[in-house]
Amino acid sequence: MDKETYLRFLRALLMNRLPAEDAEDIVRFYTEYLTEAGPDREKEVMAALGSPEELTAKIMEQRAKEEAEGIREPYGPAPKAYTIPNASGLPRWLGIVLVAFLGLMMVPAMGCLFLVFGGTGIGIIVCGALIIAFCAFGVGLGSMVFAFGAALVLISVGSLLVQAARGILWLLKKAIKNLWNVLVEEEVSIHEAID
Amino acid sequence: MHFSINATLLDGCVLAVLEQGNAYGYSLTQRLRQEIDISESTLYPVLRRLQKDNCLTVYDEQFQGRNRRYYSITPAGRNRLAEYRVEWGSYRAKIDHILVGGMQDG
Repeated sequence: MDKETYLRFLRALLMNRLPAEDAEDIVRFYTEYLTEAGPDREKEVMAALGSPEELTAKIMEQRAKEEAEGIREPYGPAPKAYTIPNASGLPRWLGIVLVAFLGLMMVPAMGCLFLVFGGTGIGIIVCGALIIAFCAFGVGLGSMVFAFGAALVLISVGSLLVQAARGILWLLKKAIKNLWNVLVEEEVSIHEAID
Repeated sequence: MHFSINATLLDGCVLAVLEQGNAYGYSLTQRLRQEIDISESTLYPVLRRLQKDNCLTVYDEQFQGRNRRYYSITPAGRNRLAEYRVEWGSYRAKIDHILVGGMQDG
């Protein structure tokens, strides 16, 4: 479980049990805490804190003690069955619909760009290759060197365009994957015992 | 370690560290963890309680583009720390008397 997911779960669990202000304050503390621990210690600290459920249990136990000592007012309703939202907070079906919709919109545009860049790139590379081929049939030495240089430039430009086309495909994949992560992924239902 | 630290002692230790200078949650925890065996989740309720009692205040400061919440001891916190130190002195003397001194002259 990565840091963001951990904190999202913690937040959802606490929100269901504590006044929003208190829950936010705790999540804020642990967000900062994990950030300060840094990427190297982050996993270790999360393991030491326990799962979001375990940490929540510890926090609630502490809180119950404080309530018993009269430091705090008792708070509210027992937790019920609920769903921890994904990062966007949208329901899963809506997330999937949105990803499909945005994906469909992106695919033609990106596809066109891919074809334009890729096609142009390959075309230019072919031109360069043809020029080199013609050079083999010997014109004067001077123009041969010139033509060869020009051909090399063409091939380089063509390769760059082909790389750009590959980059576009990569972007498309990445964009769809990120959309999926934010809109759909990580939604988990928790059905807690009602105490 | 057979001895455990209680809430009051922990309050005192936190105040004592903050007396040395302001600190943020993570640094404070790591500082205490160098000496005593407390878990990573021990400190939040302690800080929250001390804050409620006006023994410390918080302020936010930017550090490398992120926020750090610093804790700072207040005059009330210093008073409480002074009280704890006095109490701890007499408590420790009593325990020493029994545990170390064997209470022979009691």
